[in-house]
Amino acid sequence: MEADETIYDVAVVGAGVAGCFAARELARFDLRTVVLEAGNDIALGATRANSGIVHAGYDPKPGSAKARYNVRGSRMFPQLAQELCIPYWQNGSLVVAYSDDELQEVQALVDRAAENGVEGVREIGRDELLALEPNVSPQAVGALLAETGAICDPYHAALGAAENAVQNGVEFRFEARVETIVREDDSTYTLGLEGGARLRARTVVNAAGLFADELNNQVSSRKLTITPRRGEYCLYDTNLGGIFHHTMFQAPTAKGKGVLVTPTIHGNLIVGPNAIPQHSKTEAPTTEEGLEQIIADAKKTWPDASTWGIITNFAGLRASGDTGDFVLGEAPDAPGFFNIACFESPGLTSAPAVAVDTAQWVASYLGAAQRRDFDPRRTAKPLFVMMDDGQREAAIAADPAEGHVVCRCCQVSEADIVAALHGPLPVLSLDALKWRTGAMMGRCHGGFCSPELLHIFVRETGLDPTEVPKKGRGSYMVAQARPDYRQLAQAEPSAAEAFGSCDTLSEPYDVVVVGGGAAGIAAANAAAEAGAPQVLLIDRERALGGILKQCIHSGFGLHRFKEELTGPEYARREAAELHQNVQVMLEASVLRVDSAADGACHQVVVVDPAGQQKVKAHAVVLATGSRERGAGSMNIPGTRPAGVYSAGSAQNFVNLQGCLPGQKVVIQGTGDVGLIMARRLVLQGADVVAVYGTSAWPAGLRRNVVQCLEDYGIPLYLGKTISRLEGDDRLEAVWVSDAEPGTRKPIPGTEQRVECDTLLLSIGLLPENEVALSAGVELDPVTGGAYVDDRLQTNVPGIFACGNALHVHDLVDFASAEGDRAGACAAAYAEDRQVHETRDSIPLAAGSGVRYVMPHRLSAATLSSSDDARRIEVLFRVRKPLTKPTFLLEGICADGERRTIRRRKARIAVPAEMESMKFALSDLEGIVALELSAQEGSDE
Amino acid sequence: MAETRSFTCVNCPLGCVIDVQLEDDGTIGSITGHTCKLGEDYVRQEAVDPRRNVSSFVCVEGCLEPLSVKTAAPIPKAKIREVMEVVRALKLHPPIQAGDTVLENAAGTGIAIVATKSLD
Repeated sequence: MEADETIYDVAVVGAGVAGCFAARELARFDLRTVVLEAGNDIALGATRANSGIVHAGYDPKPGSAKARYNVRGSRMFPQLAQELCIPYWQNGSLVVAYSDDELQEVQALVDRAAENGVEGVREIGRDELLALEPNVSPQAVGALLAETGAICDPYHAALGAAENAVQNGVEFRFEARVETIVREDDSTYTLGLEGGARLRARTVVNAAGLFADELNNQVSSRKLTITPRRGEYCLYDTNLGGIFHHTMFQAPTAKGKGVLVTPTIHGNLIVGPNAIPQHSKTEAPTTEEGLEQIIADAKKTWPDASTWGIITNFAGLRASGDTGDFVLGEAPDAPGFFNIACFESPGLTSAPAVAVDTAQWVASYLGAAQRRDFDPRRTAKPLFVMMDDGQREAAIAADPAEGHVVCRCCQVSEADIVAALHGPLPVLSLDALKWRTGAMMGRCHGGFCSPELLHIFVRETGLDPTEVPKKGRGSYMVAQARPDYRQLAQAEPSAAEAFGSCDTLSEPYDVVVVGGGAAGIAAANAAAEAGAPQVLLIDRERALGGILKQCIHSGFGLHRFKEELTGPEYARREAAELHQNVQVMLEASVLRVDSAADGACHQVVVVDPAGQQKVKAHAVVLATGSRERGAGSMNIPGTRPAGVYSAGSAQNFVNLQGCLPGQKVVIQGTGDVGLIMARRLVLQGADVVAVYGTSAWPAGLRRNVVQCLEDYGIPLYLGKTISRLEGDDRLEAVWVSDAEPGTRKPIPGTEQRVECDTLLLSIGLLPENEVALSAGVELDPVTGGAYVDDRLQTNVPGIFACGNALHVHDLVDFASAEGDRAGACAAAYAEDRQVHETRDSIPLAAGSGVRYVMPHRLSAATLSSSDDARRIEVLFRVRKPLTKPTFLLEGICADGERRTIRRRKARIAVPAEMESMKFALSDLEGIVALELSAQEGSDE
Repeated sequence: MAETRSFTCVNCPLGCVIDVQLEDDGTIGSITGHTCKLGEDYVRQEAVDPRRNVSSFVCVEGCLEPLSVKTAAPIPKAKIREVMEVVRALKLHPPIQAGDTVLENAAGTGIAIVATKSLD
């Protein structure tokens, strides 16, 4: 066996928050320290799947180690956050009572806080509570307020400590699982690693989390027993992060501690955890019952809690001992062996204080002196998203890669990614990159950025794409890539290096179009053609065309060009015919739009590798497209292996990177992208096992069902849903259940296992409207897009919306047509800048059988136009398939009387195909509101 | 013996199941189940000579970004896999312009493969 001759002073086992802080404190002493981590990243256990709360300290039993270290740790955090660049926010905690009995519990906790020496804790009444948290359930009667309660990013707490330890000379070894430990006659310890290597150390710090008992029990007769207790969570989108300001606990009851609802440091909202004892120390799947329970329990605090807005669910395992307290310090019969064991909540808060004491004990045991050259400050590049406007400008001037935003949801720059890949600790997986930078953590689940991230990962590390794990070893991100991918990626200039700045901007622009996909190109062109002298079209990518660029199949353009084109051909044709008054700004990301009132100029805040600019515009057209619904929106329980892709993300990997995501593929969802990808993957040599859809009818076009599935013998099963994922590192199987009609939930007892290594989700698109929200645009919860009038103007005068950002279209031709209209109307607005009163408009509502109608109202400008014969077109979708339907547009008069404006019959209507209806303005005499409905027809 | 085959019409969401009677000499006999002229036209082609447009991509020497390509006209359905094989085996060098023919007469179909984008 290979033996390492070095004798370390300290071997820290485990790189969770306990091990990382211990390493950092040990670095203060003249000691040779190594951290041995079984996995391929820090914080893979309880630290990662954690609530992220820095507890004030009112909860632990007085006199316990938990109480002491919690209070000390909590006090250390503000300074540590500064020194180690840990995202940390003292938002305060509330423990809310919902009955008089619970109020007594709350009062007992207030007393306990005093006993534990926690400052800033007091009882507050219902009125003060409601003033602090207006969204809390009205059932609340009072609460404990702990002002020093805080939230942090637990991964970054561990990372900050670990990187600072490395900067001060500590060594980290990954994929170094300690299997055996023996105390030798010379009082040193020999640690046997998985794979056969051995390592010697004078002392051991046991921070092995769930496995700390097994390690302790090899050297000490004081046996420990750790029981894993699983805690499940639901993580919500950042647009729900503002529901609560404080961390909202529930008062303890006979049933338990309840669940918490809290904002996270990154602006999301998190709900959980439950506490379920289990045997396995390695598996932490979520379960359907568990997720339902935490959402049900969360309603006590947050009555609106539901699955809506969930980005993902996850579970973690707590390392619970049998005494109810931490087990710390030297084992009584194993000198030099120091435990940080049974380190459950409040472990995160306590870790810094426990680390100080542990390091002191180790140093005393070894007689080590303090180092004079210890530097407590971690040097880390601030993340792009944390910078203010001024810092961004300076950062981009220093490094153009700061101006290339790779992850749009979480605003992660290429410089963030490169810095992480070359940081003090190695990045050994895409997940390690995700946790360090935030890339792929947003609402698109990495659907947009994971292909580019893989590309950068390969370029910077020199690994072959098939060797880059998503998480653990064997969790490959792509199964196949061209043999020379790595050489080509390394030879290519980075996006920032390749950047060619656009011509000088000449502000103010009449119209700025955000997004250069089909709708945006059309809008820019139409605005120029309508007479706008200065139009700017901004896109984040290197070429115009948006998602069309990866849609290499044909079927586009039959309406617009009377010719069947592929996606790249359609994009090329549109971009080739740009009007001379349209200026194009590529590789530029719009971060927000600062809207102005009273016809003043809006400001479009945009970054590119040349810098950050605030571009003035009279009118703005938002053509920001859509994103795919991801796994989170289905809230699928089970494990979280690699191999789950949105269909469009897989399409990018295949068609734009030449990579095959997997070999044995299951597709959930019958949307067109999924059907098209089924065919593509079969043609690239993969085995597509089946396509499952929850509805009784396919969401995609009939032509695609026949030509993408039937042609290749791929089975299509309707009324089925994925009810569970299986596999730790890479997906090994999905479980498929019958879906309950209506709710589409899995029916218990119908589960079947389907082996596969890849799951593609094609479960719909959602308009992408972050920029719209930044401008104060109001969104329709049904479409996910803006409320607009017939000129496609939003509630903010001068801001228009079109394409998939407004509502999801079936055909790109229609998105282009909508862009034409938005562009022309924006140009007209830019010319006269006349703001009309909304109250003079006529609202248009969806009646029975209709899911939505576009537009939402007829503008006062249109209604007052002299052209009475002008025809208005309304678009709508039915709720469910209807045979021989009758569509009915009714006008409602001031006295409430209804009048038929237009009636039309059709052969069939399905939700997947948009319908339209036209009427003349002259039909609206005396009408104050409109409603469109659809009814199933009879055979007569 | 005449043979009856069923087809699902792809022209609209109705998805009519259309039965076609194929005579011994390969000609079409009766057509039933369609509800419009488009359906009839569809099965007249689909029953005798089903064809598909096929698109794919080719890795180009020295370019990380693949080149997207398509058949210049629909090819016989039975030839799809064979055409895919020859497309995959193509060795191409930049520059290539959208619309360039990258392969004449793919797999004996008489139909060319053309680039659908440009690579410099």
